[in-house]
Amino acid sequence: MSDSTLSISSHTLPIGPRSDSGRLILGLLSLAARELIATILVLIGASLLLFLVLKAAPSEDHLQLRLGQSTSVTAEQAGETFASETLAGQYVTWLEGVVTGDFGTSKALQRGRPVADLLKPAFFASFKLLAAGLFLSALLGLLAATLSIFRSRNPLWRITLGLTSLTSAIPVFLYVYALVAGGNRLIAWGAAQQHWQIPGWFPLPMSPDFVPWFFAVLILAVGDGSLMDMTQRFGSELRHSAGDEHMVGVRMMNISVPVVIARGFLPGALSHISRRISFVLGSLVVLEAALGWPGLGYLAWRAAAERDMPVLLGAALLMAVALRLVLMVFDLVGTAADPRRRVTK
Amino acid sequence: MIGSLRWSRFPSVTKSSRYLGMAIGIICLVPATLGVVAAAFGWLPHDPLQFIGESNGGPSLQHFLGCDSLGRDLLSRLWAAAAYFTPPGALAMVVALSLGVVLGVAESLGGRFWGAISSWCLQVMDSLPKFVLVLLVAAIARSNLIWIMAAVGATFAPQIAAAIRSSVERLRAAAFIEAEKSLGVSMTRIVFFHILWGHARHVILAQLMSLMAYALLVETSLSYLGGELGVQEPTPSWGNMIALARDGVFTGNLLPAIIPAIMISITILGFSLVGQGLLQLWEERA
Amino acid sequence: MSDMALKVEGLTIYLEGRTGMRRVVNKVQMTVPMGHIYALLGESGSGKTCIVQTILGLHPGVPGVVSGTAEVLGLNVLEKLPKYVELDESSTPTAIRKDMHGWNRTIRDVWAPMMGSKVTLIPQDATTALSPFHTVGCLLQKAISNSGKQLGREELRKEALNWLRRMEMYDVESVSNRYVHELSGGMAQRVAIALALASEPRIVIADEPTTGLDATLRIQLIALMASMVKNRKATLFLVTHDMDAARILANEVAVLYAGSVVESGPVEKILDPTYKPKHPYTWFLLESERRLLQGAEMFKGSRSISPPDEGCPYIIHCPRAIERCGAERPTLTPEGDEHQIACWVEGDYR
Repeated sequence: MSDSTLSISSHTLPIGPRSDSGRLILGLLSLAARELIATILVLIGASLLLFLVLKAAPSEDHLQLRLGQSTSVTAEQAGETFASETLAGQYVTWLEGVVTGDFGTSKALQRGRPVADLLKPAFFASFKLLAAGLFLSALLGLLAATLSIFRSRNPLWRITLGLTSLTSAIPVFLYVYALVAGGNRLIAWGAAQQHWQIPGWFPLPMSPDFVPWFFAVLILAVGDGSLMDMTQRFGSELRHSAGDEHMVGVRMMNISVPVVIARGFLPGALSHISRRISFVLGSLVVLEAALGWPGLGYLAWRAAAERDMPVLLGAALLMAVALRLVLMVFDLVGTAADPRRRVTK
Repeated sequence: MIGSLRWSRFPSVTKSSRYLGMAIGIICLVPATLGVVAAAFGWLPHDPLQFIGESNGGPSLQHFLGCDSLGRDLLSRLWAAAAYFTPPGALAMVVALSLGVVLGVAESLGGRFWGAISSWCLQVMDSLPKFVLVLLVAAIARSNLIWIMAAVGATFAPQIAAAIRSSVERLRAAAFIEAEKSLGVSMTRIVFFHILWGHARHVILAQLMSLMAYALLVETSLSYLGGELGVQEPTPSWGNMIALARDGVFTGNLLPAIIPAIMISITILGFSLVGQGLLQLWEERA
Repeated sequence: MSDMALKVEGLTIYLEGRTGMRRVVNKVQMTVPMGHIYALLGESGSGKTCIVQTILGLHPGVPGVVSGTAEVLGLNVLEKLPKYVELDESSTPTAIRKDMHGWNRTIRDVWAPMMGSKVTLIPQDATTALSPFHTVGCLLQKAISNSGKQLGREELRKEALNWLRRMEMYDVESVSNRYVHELSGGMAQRVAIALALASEPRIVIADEPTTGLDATLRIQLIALMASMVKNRKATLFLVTHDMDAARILANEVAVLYAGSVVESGPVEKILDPTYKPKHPYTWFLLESERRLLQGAEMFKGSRSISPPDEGCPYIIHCPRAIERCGAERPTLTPEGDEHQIACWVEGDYR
């Protein structure tokens, strides 16, 4: 045994003799710091992109990007000073306002009201819906993926899975239409036949009571191709994780196979979910707009329909921030699950 | 039980069932394609904008699928809608492909500086929710479908770039690119012929299919929701056809709402199934 | 319980390839007594790894058609395996019905109780074959507790560090806190050997443990395995194309060509450079090695291209093939003490 091989091989490793958990926490912290910087950079870019898109608008629109400091200055004065600044100056002023939580005032939706006031309650309502929808989608997708692997020989399951794809291809707005049109008629018919009482949430899209809310979550989880995508991606992730070469060593040592498969599956699955959020946010806009429920999506759609740029911009930025933060958390969890990802890039 | 997963490295789907999925997908795309062809060659049974039949008329020899509430021929409108959507949809693909290829190649092969810049651009695009960006463009462009579809295409550029990046990474790991370079193959040829065509073809095509499904979804959703964002009457779109006929449920005229809904669903299903089949083909090869 | 560690009889394996069913292993016969070191020698693609994976239930991909018996510690591991297709002597199966549940049952009932405790594996490439989610120390502790010893937490940790020291590693604390992908190839391979031995198995199966390592590491590993296995009186089933390793370690050797055993016997008879081999392929192996040492010189006629369905698999390259070789497949016949050869032509080759 030559010493040289050993000393060289231990030399190349920058990691000292620390305990596993200590290393994990240190590594995750440094990763989190790096990701935070990247996130801030990306968000600055996103706001810049939004700003530039808005600048491409016809001239009467860009005046709408008036700032919220209209308490001391009249709206016209603010607009004039805003218009006289350079593009970069305008952007910086706007960004300053955004960072301090000042998104300007609404132009059309609720004239003169600060956008932040509109966004805050809407954000929490939508966030609940979105989180529940994503969770249900992931759950159903995992179930279907597992079944498609284990029961792939059973024709009944294959037909069921085929039908899942079929239901997933139906857009969210069609689901909402069917729910509202069909659901209300069904409830009214049942009540007329005295099968049940008219529930409190009767004309269906009216209130986000629990039952309609649950249906909305289900629609979000299935429609617009969500479920199909999840099933397919999860299936391929599971296959990769289970077919990985290290399973030989794992099985030969009697280490718990499901745990290892789950740990290999988690990072990929989380990155698929985070990629899916962008799409589900779109479905959320359509869902809330079609149901007329208050929320970030509804706000964004109304703002777009009435060309209320400050509100639309605020909603878009808020969604981007939430998206990036979730992405970051998922990345950290994935890195914690798989040590191979902790190697510094 | 779960140990069996080890063997499912080989796809659990049999060859025939995968081709079955592709075949179903292609069949699902047939009605829309027919519409595009018919409208392009002027074979539509009637003018889609003329009020020629009776309001809410049922199917007859004259009007195969009946008429909508304004007395326009439903079949002609369906097909005309498909034809109207095609050029903007193609534009979305072109935008996604060109932006994605430029940024993807720059990111993975462009060296440190350009790599960082384009990676940042892609992340910026990826961090904005697609539909909201489209809403913004729709609000500004005053429901001009060309601009809306260009925005949809731009939001899909990160996916195309990711496909290219993973291809380049795989080929790098196999020392393929270095080997090609050492043989004196020009970089342009490596990028276009070997990476884009030879290796990433299936994935890029699959991404374009899912882009088309999403573009259709966005267009119909916007048209359905109204608010001067999507396609405006009298121009036909499957979305605004449903919006027009949505109250038919209460009067018993289901056909004008159900048929566009079915068309939307099967066309989206078709794009998804074809894309999925392409991805599986690629997975098997890799 | 029999005194045979491993007994393989008439093992034939078909795998599903792109073009249809392909016979990879053809009627392999092997007996490994307890405490012996048995080397299975063959070139790449001769079916060595396939045999190991079938015996251990580790087959990558859908299991193909398997017939014959393989007794590990007196237990026929292939017994419960569903026979997918009834095979007759010559025909190639054209289709198989894959029964995942039967395969799963076999894994759960037959293989799982032995894995990691009575039978262990030294994989070909430790960096990819070991679990990436556990540190080396964690893996070693798991292996030690697999042996059935009741040890406390601290004792386990100490024992794990001891195993690393036994593998002639330094700075063991640091090594035991690393993950396998953070180790160099040689270190990972040593860890794999420690893992295979730490659970005090009756049989260690080594699947090309020295492939892809440089000469200094190879010699170290061979020496390590030799001392470890001999000290522990374990049975070692060594699958390799490394003739030096076989020569140093093994008592007995079988030479595999294109999925069939062409010669088997005591290692000092078969792999001795001065010995006149009986089988032309064995001669070819030894001659290749000799010429490599003398300065490589191009020399033809060896690699296993897909063998004919009937007759001797080596017939394509064999310089002394007779008519019978093309028509009938030679079977292993005894040639003196424990020495078996599958060749129709009598006498030594050259």
